[in-house]
Amino acid sequence: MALSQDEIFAKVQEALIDALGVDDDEVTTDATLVGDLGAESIDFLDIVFKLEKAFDITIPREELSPEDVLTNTQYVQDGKVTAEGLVELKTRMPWADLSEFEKNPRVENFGNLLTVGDLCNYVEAKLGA
Amino acid sequence: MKYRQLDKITSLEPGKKISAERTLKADEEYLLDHFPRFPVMPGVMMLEALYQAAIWMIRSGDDFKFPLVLLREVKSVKFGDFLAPGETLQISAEVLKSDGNLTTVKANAAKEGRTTVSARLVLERCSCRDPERLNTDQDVSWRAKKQFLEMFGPVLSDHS
Amino acid sequence: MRWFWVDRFTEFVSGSHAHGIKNVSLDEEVVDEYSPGFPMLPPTLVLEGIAQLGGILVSEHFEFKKRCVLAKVGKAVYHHFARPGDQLYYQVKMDSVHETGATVSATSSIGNTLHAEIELMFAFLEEGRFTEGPLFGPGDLEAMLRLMNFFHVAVDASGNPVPVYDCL
Repeated sequence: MALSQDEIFAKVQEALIDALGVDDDEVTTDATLVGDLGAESIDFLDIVFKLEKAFDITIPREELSPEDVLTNTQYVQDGKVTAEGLVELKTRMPWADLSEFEKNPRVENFGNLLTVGDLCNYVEAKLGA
Repeated sequence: MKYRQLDKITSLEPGKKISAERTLKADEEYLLDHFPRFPVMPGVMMLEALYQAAIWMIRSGDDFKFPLVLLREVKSVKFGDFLAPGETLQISAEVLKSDGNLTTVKANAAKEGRTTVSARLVLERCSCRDPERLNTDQDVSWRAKKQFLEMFGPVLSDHS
Repeated sequence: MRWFWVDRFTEFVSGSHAHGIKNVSLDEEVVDEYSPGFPMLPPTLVLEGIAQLGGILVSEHFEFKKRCVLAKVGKAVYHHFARPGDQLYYQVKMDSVHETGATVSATSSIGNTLHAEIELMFAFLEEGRFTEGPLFGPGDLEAMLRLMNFFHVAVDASGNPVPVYDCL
């Protein structure tokens, strides 16, 4: 099913409006899910369900939340993700823009970086695969 | 009122905004089943608290003109935390928009600053639709006003 | 009083759907006293009945080993009010399931009339979060399910009766 970027954005936007109870003008490409749209952990599951349904894809948990990397002592030191860890994250999440995170790669910041645009890229990658 | 969810109204702008409080008591019967090892207020009762706050806010706004304020739709309800016996909810609701007899309300409840439930409600002010000869609407409106005064006292005169 | 907002399970297929009925009667305190002069079952208690059916549907899918709680109401639309003498027929379908939660969609009907449409999301509490240990004591949930006719009607996808799980 070949969807255009606009079509993908529209469906992702709808899923976020339903899951987070926000207005459509709040859901912009650069908006962060946690910081700007107020998503909490329970909302991530809701978002996953809605995206799976909207795009007929399966979203394994670790693809959107790389918990195993963020808790691995091989990749994290003093609460910061190491260079090796960043490489691993980029490999696991090629669709995410990690440039902001790289400036201050503290583990607790990770959850806040995901934007609406990242989600759209993720869906596009899944549909193209 | 069975399942009354508001202990007291702390502020009221009739038809616009309301704040209220509710403390869960340890002897509320349903706690025995919800849950036997973890007694907490059922999520729907927290939602009920929001709904009740909304009804009184709307009713006070048109002097109990309509006998019924029915829940038509509930959207974006999220349960963020549990409420244990002895804990108090601060409930607040405000009107987002009015469209004829339909009112959209944004409401939430929090304990110690942490949101336990948030929701959008759409309520309809309406008649009981009984035959006119029964005068049901007047009877129910009067009873609703009486119920309000019995539960909350002279809140209206304090705030109008 | 018991916190039962479904009178009886009428159908249950593991992993698929759960149906049940709720009778609205005038002697229920809440029906009489909630809205004086206009007895009705509060809409939130209709939601609770459906949440009970849905919660059991989702919990049974994991053999009652997970601690399941209501996390979200995606939407609930009420077309009518439930009056004394009405029998509400709840039909709940399992939609999506993950290790950490699940969603169900449901309808409530009064005879042939659609009464309400409800979508719910449940979350499974992680170990150690909010409280330690199970939500129910040994035998508690089993006793409730027996009263609600659950084991009498519940079957798996092949039509075999759902067992009375040890952990209940």
